[in-house]
Amino acid sequence: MATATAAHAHEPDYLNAKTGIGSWIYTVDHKRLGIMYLASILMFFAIGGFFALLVRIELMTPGETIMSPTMYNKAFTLHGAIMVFLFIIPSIPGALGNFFLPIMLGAKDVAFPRLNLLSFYIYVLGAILAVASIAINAVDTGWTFYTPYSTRTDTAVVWVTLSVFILGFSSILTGVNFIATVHKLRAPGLHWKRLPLFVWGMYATSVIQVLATPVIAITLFILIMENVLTLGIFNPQLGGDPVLFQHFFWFYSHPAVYIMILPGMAIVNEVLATFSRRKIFGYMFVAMSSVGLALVGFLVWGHHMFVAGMSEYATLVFSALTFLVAIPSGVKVFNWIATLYKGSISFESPMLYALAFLVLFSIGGLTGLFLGTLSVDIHLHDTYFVVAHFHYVMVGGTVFGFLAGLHYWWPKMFGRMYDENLARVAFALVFIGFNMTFFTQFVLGSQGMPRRYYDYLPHFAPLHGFSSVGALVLGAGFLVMAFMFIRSLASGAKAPPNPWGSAGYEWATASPPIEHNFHGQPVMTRGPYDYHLATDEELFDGFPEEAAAKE
Amino acid sequence: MENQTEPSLQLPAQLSTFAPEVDWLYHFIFWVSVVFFVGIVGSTLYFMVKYRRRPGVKSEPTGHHNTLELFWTFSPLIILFMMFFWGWQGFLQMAEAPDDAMIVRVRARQWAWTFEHPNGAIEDNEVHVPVDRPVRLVMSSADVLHSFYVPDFRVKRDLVPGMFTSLWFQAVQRDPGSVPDDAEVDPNRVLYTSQVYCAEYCGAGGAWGPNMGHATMYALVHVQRDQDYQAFLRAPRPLPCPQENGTCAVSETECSPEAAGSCLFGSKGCTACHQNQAGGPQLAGPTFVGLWGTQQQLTSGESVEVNEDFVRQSIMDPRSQVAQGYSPVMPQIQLTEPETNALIAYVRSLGTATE
Repeated sequence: MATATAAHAHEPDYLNAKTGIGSWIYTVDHKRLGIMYLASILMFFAIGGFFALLVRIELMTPGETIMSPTMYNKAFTLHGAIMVFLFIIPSIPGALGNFFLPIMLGAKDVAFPRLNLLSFYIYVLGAILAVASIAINAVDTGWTFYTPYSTRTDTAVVWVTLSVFILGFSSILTGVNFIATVHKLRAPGLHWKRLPLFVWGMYATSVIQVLATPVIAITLFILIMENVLTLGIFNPQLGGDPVLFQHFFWFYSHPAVYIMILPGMAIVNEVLATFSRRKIFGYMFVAMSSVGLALVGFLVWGHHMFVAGMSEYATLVFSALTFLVAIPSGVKVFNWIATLYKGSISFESPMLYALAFLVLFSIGGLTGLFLGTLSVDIHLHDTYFVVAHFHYVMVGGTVFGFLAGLHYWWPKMFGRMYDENLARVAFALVFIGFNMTFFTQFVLGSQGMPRRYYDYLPHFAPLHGFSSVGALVLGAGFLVMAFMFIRSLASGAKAPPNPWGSAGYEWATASPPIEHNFHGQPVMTRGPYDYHLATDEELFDGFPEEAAAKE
Repeated sequence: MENQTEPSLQLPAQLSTFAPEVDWLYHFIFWVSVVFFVGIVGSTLYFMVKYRRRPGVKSEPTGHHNTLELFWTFSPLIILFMMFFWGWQGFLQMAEAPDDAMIVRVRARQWAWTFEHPNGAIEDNEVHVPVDRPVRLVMSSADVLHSFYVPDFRVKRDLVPGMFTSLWFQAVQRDPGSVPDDAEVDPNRVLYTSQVYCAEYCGAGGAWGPNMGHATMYALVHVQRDQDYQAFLRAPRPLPCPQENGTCAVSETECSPEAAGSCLFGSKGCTACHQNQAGGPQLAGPTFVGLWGTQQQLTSGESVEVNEDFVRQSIMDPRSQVAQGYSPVMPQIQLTEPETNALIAYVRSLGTATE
């Protein structure tokens, strides 16, 4: 791509271009908003992780270990609700999407910068309500808020659902913004077939956010009305239908699974291409499989309800459609492997996370086949098998994808490198701890251990204990990672513009980028993965000024 | 298919007619997954080693290969269709109970199960069923969602308030021939017992006791020879009594109505809403400690004395007299006359035993 990179040195980067608290609070710079999202979601990741550890420590031994059954129910509910609504859904789009989508399009900012700021503050408002509800009486319904339990419990269901209702608007506005940005702000020469796959993934995610989120908003609004005004919509005592709530809930929350996983896949594309120095194999198939997942994802919500009392024919259709999800997922995995073929592969920490994603997502996807198969699902439904399956997809998939992206783009965002050895230690702990925790749970589930249990029968004790030890290893891995990133901010070596030697568009700006991302309007003359067309200067992984000085 | 009557590493014992087919399909998917996983990870590792970055060696530009793309897009459909089709077939078998299935009514509430046999006999948190005969459960819930799950039988179905759901199974012999067909009829002989779980989250709380929530909403299925089961149905059912190890059981020795009532208080699920410990937290319903003999304000404005009549009326028709400050949420619970009397005696004993 043709853009004047060499002349960046004298211009202040986006972190220093303006100063003072006000310059952050009122900023409409997509990069600063990305950083603010990053700080928020990492905080909630830590809180959600804390609750996860509480849950696993309680389950380390049978009977009461550290808390009462009612506390336990609140802990697993808060773990799920915080991780889903305050961490995973906003994580990649809000933080990395905001930061990199405009840069990858060669744009100065998103299409509606003020809307972007509004979206962030709506997120903050929702988050404050969620935290307040923990202080009020927390919530013990599970993150699914199933009726009629959620209309009978005396915990703060109204507060938490109101929070999720508000968070939904943030999600919708971000989606609208990204769709408009991708359509209108692509740099000259950046036609759809050159669009970075991260952008394709964000685009598909945004479509789901815009189409599906209103449904959960309405559903939760009705639930709030039912609680406050005793309307009879879901509550059978008032003539309502509790299964209707499940349909409404999963009509959003299944597509939401793709809101979570598509961005993770999107990042893996970028990282695999960069570290194997090769364009993603089957680019159009991979791009279209994201769109395919987004569409099919809307039609499979019923597979959460195979034992809930749906008609046999609805069940038949939902099972058949569920198997279709395997196709685009498989296409992605096969194309990623084909990308490695004849590449030039190096193994820095972002690549380790991306490769781990490949392994863990495959396990998550393949175990989904068991759950889509009707007669087998009857046995496995609502057991630890399901818990393990979605953690392999959500953590092994989305979180590993997010971590790949965080390690990959960290030098670009903050202009500093991190300690690669420490990053690898953290990776090893996270990978081993994760598998110890959750692979065990497949066995627990297939042996018949139901989920959301405070206590368990003695024959499940060894596997539960092992899983809990795994969770501690996982937690230790995240502590090492936190230390590593904080140390990088404090005293990390200065990062060159393109430390990984990538051909991606975002590496053509300075690290950290200047306020307007590029000098003038960049023009794309090649695709973001065309290593054979990129010049040595574009792929140079050191400091251009020093290289120039040497000559 | 032969039933594998001992649990394997992955799956519980196969003790229903469904289990062998479900497990066969489970293992089919398992091995398909293993093949794909080994293929995916194997080729990834191979490429990682073979194409690791080496000085002077550049990556080759990516070509495209539409035949390959179309092959791996569409060929998995064949295997997926097989899984879908077999799963659907098994599901249909589970959905339609045979016409001659024996019907047992199941009622669930937070956090107890009640089973009603065809002749009206009632059991709490355990159910006897005949072996080798189809049994259909017709289930309902008095409060929130529950789910009836027996891993050994590979069956599970949600109980939804406001509607009936149903499932069926046919338990098989675990140890064929261990009890000869002509062995003497014994209503207490059980071939084996399988565990029932609640698989749909339904909360927690209540007084300390055997039922403290979703995680302990257990029940047991006792599988009997048909002739033993028939005898069991006709056998007189004494009330449960506290045992030396702290549990409750139906045994030869009899106990006072108060003691029997303390057992029923747990097994009927009263502990979910009524506190029976002095100093325990206030629950959804009135606390029984010190209640007996006091004047109770009702939502109707009346005031009544808590005595045998009032407690009996409250158990038989819970919504007819609702205490001031509480919601009319108590479900009707099926009790025999001796059970009702034992519970009244227990409530009386709590009321007079104030410190």
